[in-house]
Amino acid sequence: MKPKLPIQCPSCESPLSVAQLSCGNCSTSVFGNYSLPLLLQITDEEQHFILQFFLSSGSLKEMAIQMGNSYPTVRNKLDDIIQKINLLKNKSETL
Amino acid sequence: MKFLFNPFERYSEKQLLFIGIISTTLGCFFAIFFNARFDGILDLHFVEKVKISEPIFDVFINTFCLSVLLFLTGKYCNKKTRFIDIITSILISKIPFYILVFQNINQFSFQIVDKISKSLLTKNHSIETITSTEMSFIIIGGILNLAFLAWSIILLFNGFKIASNAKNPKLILFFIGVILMSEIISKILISNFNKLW
Repeated sequence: MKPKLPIQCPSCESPLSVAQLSCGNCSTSVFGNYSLPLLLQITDEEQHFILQFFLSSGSLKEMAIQMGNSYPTVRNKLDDIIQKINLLKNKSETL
Repeated sequence: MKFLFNPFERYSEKQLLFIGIISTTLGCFFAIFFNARFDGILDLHFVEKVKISEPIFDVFINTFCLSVLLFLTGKYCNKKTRFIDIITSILISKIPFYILVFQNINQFSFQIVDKISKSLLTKNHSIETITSTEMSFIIIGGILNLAFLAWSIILLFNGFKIASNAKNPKLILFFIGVILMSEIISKILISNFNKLW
């Protein structure tokens, strides 16, 4: 099973940030306080949707056929993700 | 269940439009055959003899009123709302009404309603002449009509929700407003055109 990247604190549900990065080759570790990129702050399903959107050259019609959904359903999903990313973006800019 | 209440989530606009046009054509045909009038967006009445043009005209006026008002509301909620998604929602949501037309096979529904109306209009209120079979039909028919009306409204609401992606809490109020406005306008238009003809 592929471990899932936690993005929210399991205790207080605040967004998590990166505190440590390490090199798998020489075990060098870097400590700090790095916020997660916007695309990692959304759910796996939403990340998969964006990847599919990219792979289908941004064609929502093609995506709708691939996903077996109607065009407005897929467009609404994209609009919802855009709205979510904009909110996260505004939130991170104000911090 | 989703197929019955929310086909708009899954099926493409071409498939929905095709089903919508076919069902509307069949609905008009059955309405002529079983003497039904759709004289308002939420109405279905049976008459003694319908003219061929009447149900077709009713469907046209109902679809026109509802599509204009629902599309404008959809555009207000979300600028990306497409007319094709609104029109398919309207056409598909009318299917329950076309099924209900079958209540009037052999003028059955019309005769019962006519009998009740006449008995109530006469001074002696001779409602006892209504048989138990007819009374059962009225009760079951009434429940069935309400259920199909609810099905039609749910279909229209789901179609509108997907077409406009509206998340506004006032969406239900807008939707009810559009339904009532369309009902009033379509009723006025249909009754005025009836007088002209």
